[in-house]
Amino acid sequence: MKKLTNKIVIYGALLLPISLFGENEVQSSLSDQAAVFLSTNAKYHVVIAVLVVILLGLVAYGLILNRKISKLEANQK
Amino acid sequence: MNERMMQRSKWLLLIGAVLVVYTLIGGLLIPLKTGVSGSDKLKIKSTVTDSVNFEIYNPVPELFIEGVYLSKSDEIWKSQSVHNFGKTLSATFNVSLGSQKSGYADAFIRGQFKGQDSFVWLYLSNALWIEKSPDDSISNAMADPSILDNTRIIDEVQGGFPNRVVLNESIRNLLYHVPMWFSMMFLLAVSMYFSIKYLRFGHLKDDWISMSFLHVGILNGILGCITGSIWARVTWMSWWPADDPKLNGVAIGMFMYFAYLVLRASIKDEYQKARIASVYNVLVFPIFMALIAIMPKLADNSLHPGTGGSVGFNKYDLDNTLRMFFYPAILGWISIFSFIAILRYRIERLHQRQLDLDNE
Repeated sequence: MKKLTNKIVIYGALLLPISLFGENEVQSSLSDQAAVFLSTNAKYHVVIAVLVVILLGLVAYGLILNRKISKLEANQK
Repeated sequence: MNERMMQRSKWLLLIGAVLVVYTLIGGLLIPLKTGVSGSDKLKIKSTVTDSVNFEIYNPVPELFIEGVYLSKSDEIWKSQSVHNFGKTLSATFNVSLGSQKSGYADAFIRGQFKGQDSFVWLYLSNALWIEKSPDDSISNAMADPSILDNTRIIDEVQGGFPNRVVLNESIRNLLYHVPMWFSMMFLLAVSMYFSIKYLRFGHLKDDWISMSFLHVGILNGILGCITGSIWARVTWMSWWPADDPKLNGVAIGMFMYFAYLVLRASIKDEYQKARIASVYNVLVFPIFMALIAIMPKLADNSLHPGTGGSVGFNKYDLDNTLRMFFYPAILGWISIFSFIAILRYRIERLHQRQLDLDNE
């Protein structure tokens, strides 16, 4: 039951952003302003760099987990 | 799925990561092609000289605009004059409809790239409503309406991602939103396969594999909903357009899979849990596919491309530049999530073995 509650909390937390934003109006020019800001300040590269670092961090975490599980499997045998 | 395959699953992660990094960098750096995103007027009156400003998205100095053409019921009217101000193109029209009635006209902005012989056009569907004046009796449409036949769509000449009205820069989300659903369908199909395998041979490990792939498939579905919801807010001005059959199908389908989790948690006996969950999984998968892939196609209208009355991405929007990133993105995300599913299965197997050891 605890496992199920945990799952519901995790999936609920993932879906929360959708319900929280609701139907609030955002100025239509906001995305244009953001695009202009990013392009004029050459910030696209910063965005890409941050995203790549996050992804590589997750990949490294996945590899560490993989190694740990392999060790545990070897010990169990 | 044998031991050797599982030990090598890290390659799935590494290959997936390389593909996703490639799509991440390329997908954000490739510029968007030039397009026309709208006009400052919705209506002009026939026989009256009127000026309309068209908003040009991502204009490039190499493109020399020659004229704006309004097309309605196989007749074409050319602008009297055009003035290019970079992001704005001002065109003056004096249209006489003649025998035609009032109605919407498509706009074709015709231009030429420096050093190239061929002409290209930018397109805005239903750009202007032409209101017929009472004194309008003789049409002043162009004598040769085939002028646009010799003009190519800008996508064939200019490099970059396709520029589509409403989508604009958000078309880059195609590399994240759609692969989530492809990945989900793949994982759920694998899950169903192992459910069938369990029902046939009765090995609990098949049920654990099925469950692991299903869990990660649900995660994919949630990520698909989040990326889609953000995209919908940008393009359709709503976080969740309730009248779209695809979205409703997805919502129902996701709840069916949430019910799977509840069902599993409610049964204590491992074999009974595995059998009932497998039967449920085998039943739910075809229904889920029908809800997200077949029902939306049968509906009259849908905002999603390729469903209801709308055309598919593949037909107009998915050009070769986008394909170079779209297909690797699908493979990359499927690889990464398959690795996570295999990891999830190995953790479950460790857990079950430990329980067995404790019981002994």
